[in-house]
Amino acid sequence: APPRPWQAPPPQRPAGNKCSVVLCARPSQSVQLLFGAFGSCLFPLLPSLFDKTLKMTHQFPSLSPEQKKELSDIAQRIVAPGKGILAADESTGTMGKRFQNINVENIEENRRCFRDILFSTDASIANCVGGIIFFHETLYQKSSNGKLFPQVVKEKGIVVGIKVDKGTAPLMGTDKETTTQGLDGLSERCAQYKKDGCDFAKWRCVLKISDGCPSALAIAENANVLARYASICQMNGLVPIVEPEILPDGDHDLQRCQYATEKVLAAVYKALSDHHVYLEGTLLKPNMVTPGHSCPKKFTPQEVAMATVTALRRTVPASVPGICFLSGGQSEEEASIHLNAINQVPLHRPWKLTFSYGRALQASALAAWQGKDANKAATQQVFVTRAKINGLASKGEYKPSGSADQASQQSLYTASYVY
Amino acid sequence: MRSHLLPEAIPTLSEAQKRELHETALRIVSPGKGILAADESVGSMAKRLAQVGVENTEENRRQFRQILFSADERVNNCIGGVIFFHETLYQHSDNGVSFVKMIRDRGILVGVKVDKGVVPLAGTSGETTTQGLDGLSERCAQYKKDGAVFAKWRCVLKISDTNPSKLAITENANVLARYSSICQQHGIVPIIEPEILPDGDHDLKRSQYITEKVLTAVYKAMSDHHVYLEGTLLKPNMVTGGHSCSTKYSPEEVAMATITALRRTVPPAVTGVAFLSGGQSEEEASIHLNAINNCPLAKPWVLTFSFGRALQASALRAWRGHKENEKVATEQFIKRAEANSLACQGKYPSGDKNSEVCHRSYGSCHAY
Repeated sequence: APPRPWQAPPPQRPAGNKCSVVLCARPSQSVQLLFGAFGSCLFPLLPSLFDKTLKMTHQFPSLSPEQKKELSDIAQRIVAPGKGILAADESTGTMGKRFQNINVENIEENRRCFRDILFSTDASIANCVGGIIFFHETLYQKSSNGKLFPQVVKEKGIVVGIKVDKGTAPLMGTDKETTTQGLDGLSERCAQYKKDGCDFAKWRCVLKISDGCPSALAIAENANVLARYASICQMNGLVPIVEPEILPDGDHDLQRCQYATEKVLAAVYKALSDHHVYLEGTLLKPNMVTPGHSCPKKFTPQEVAMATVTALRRTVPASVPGICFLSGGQSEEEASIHLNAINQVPLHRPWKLTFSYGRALQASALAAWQGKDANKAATQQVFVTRAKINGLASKGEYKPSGSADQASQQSLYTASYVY
Repeated sequence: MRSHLLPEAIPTLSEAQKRELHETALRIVSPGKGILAADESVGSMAKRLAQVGVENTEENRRQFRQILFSADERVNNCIGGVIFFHETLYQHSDNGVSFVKMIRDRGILVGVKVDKGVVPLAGTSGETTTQGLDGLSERCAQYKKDGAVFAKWRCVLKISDTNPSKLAITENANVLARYSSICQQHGIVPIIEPEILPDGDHDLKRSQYITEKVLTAVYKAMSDHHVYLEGTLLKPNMVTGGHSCSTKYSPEEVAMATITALRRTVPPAVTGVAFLSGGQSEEEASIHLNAINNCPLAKPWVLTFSFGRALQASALRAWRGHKENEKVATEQFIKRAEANSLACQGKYPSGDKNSEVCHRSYGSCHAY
């Protein structure tokens, strides 16, 4: 008979199997030893008794207890109380857009220079930043005093992460929906990244809300590719950040976004289970539940927070250690206020709820820098200010004093955002 | 704004309906309370009564349920809900008071078993799904009128070399979701019971693995069917070694495996988890429930009991069908109710050395 999904592979003694294996030449004796009075029900299973004990432990073990502990510890360190993630993994093209706003040329040295300013901030930044996501290029760049960036970051006690996806690809037969590519050779890449100092990875999938979107295919395909990515990462000691971003483009209201978010996240966690991903060694990077950017109705931070936490409570298992929101076009201040409100929602929240912000941590810093060395200290200061605010927001302790400055209030939304 | 016209955005329940369901679920699993599963079918009662030499007549079934329902106010703080079998819902005490009224007057909520038993799945190795969807909507409406505010539906899965199969998992998850959806339309909180039998020699790890796969499928189906999770309760098996597994596991190991499995699969929005006892003795079930509530992992849902045999076994044995034993039998039930009330708060001291209580009530390949 063809092997069923739950059947163990042909008997091979797995290393470290704690079950004592009793292999007996006489089947009838095995039956009596193992099953005593209940043997009468089990005689039809006689032929499989020899390898029965080998099947008794966890089917097809994937990660060892040590591997699981390492992943869990890494995840816990990233989302330690008061900490979140700096998403500094903008691709070359995306950095080009950033730099365009401040009239800085998009060359490698300028990209290196800006990241250098952020990463060489005073070590106390580690009190609010638990992890930094790198772009591939940046992982192999050095600070102005010759140290590789991963080392600079790790010396501050911050965990180094790496974006590993290779961008979106269209799904034929859909309304311009996409999946994300990057699985080819991913295992080897992850192994190399681990050697080069990374302990976590990030992969972004994109969904959108419109008539008929997100479609069943888009939901299922993106959930599946996220689970494949997560599985490969874990085999190589990297904690996968799972990012199923639902874009804020559109005129849909808060309820529609909540509904779509619940469906997407339910599919994501079903796929992660199907792919045997160890949830305690993952992080989630979702969108907050917000109305569409062109929705005429406005919603308060409390409404956004309630819709967000409700959606997460209905879909994200408690074993996931942390949820690190993307800022998705919100202004710096908006993103902090929303995160703060989320951490004040009067519903039980069994996971950490923190930030993984790109633009919402760097907008003011870019504006302060303007590409000029002389502005380095000022750049670091505004960066630290945003980081501290978000650290407080991740504990629900942020109290905005008066009005924030214009740069941080300005909406960072651009239509159909692509990294 | 076109979003309200999209088919997926059609609301299922109104705010008021959701609130009613959520509050009902909260009341059933209030602190210190759990569920008395007194919903044994006629066939199951036959087995129970046979064990104590009592004939399986409607009158005898009525009398035994009366013994349970006559418990005094001590059970008001221990029992949040009673699951009835259809027949019992329309029976009365010796004094002519309906059982439903007796229970409701205590502030205890009335539930009803609505499934119609297991049926085989062709092409599988002895696996089943559960029937009862036909006319379920009308039946729920009637049960609501007759005093029920929650329902129960039991699906059964087994662990073996080949089981549970993917079909059994998806089919049972789907039928549980259909049942839940129908119940909620009528203001009835669905108790979702995907029981994985303890039959077999599999170890704790295997049981945990299977439980995780089953529960993940259940909650994916719930999402697909738009079930309002805050207005549901889960009635799962604890994660234990198979009954003929050679390794014995401590209550703490059982608790750890159970909580880990639930944390990986049951969304925090689910109001409560009320474990089935599945053949454990009364004492064993209480000890396990206590260990579960003392497990150091964070537990975002209430963790309580929905016990049948583990609340009734001693009472049944004390009764033996004799009228003069009724009060003593009721006392036995109250005792277990109080023990489990403590256990679901993590405050149960083990040490009930009564050998009757420790007696295993496991029956092979149990079907209600």
